[in-house]
Amino acid sequence: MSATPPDVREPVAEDGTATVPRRPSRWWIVAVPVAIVTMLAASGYRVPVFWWESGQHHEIADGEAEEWVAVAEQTSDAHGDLTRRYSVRLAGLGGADPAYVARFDEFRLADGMVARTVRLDFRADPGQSLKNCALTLVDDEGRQYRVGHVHDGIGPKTRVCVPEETPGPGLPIIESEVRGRLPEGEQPRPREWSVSPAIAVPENATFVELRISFEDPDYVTLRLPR
Amino acid sequence: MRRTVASAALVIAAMGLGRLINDHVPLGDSADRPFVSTGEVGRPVVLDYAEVTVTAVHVTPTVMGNPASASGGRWLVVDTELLARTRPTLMSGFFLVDAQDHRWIASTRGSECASSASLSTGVRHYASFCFDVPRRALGGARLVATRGAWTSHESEFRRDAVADVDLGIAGSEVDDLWAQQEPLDVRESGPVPPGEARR
Repeated sequence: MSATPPDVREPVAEDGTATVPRRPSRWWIVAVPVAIVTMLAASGYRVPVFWWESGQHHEIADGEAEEWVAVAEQTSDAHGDLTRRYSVRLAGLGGADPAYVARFDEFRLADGMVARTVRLDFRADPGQSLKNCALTLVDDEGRQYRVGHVHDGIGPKTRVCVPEETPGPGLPIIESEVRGRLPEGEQPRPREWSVSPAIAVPENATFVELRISFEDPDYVTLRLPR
Repeated sequence: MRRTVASAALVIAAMGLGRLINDHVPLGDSADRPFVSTGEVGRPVVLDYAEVTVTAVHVTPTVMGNPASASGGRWLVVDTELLARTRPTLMSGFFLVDAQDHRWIASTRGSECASSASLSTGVRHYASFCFDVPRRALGGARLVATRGAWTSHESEFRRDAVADVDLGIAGSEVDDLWAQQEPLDVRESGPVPPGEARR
C-alpha cells in the first residue's frame, strides 16, 4: 500500500482558530472489495479452460424417457456460429450381454460388467451435423459410463447417434468446406432414425439418467424411470 | 511524528513477516505436490480415479513387431492393468524414475508400446509401456503413473493422485537382466487380457 498516512492534524482556519478535526481517509473501504474481486478474477483464468469447458456442466435440455425432447445447441464451425437442432427420445435400455460387440471392438467383459444397448430415436433435418456425439449413462452412485467420446477406450467414436451408412454431414473445419455437404456417393440421412449403441456397465447398476453431449460443457439429460 | 514512526515500523514488520512465511513455510509443496501412493509389482495401487497394477516387468534388447525395434540400451517393458473407478479417464503420464531420480519417458518405437491409456469406467485395460534405458537406470527403477502428461516440472500433475510402483529390480540382478537376449512380444493394449485373443 503506497497511500500516505491520513492527515489528522487539526487544520487551522485563516483567522487562526482551530476547526473540527478532519476524519482519516476511508477510500480503502471501497478499494478492498474491488481488490478482492480483481484478485479472484485474475487467478480464476483457468476455470473456463480446465473446468467449465472440460466436462459436462451446462444442461441445455432435459426430459423423461419415452418422451420427445427438442434440442437447440449453440456451436460453431469454420464459417462461424450455428445452432444444432434435433429431437431425441430414449426408448429404453437393452438387455445385458457378457460380450461387448461393436464395429471395431469385440471382446468378453469381466468383473461383473455387461454390455447394455441404449435405444434412441432421433428426428432431425438431414443437413444437421450429428456425428461425434457421446452417450453417458449415470448410475445412482454418480458413476459415469460413456461411449462415443474421442478419449473412450472402447466402442464406436463418430457414429454413435447416427445411422452407420448414412451418418449425414460433419461440421466444416476449414473454410473451403461447405456446410451440410455430404461426401460423394453418400445418401442423405433419413429424417427419422433409431440407434442402439452398447455401453459397458456393471450388471447390477441402477441408472438414473442418460446424457447426450456433442461438445463440453453442453449436454442433454434424459431421465430413466426409477 | 510518533504516528509516522509507528506506521513505518508496522509496514516493515509486515514485510518481515511475509518474508519469513515465504522462506520457511513450504507453500510451493502444498500448492504443487501430487498425492503419491506407492506400490509394488502384482498389487493394485488405488487412486481416486483409477487402480494401477504392474503385472510384469521385462528387460530385453528387442521388442518384436513389424518392424522389430532394437533398443539403444535395453528395453525395460512394464506390463500394466488399469481400471477407471467412477468415470471415463484418460491417463497420459507414464514414466520411469531410476534410483538417481532421473526420469525416462515411454517410447513409442515398439509397435505396440503404449504412451497413454483411455479407460472406460469399470473395463480393465491392459497396456505395456516400453522405456529405452541405460544399465544404470535398471536397479531400483519405479513406474510413475498419472493423468497429466509428463513435463519437466510436474505442472501437469500437481495436486493429482499419482501411483509410484517399485519395479522390484535389485542392484544385484542388473547384470543378469542386462545379459538377457530373448526378444519380447508386446501385446496390443486394450480391454483384452494378454494371452487371450480378440474374438
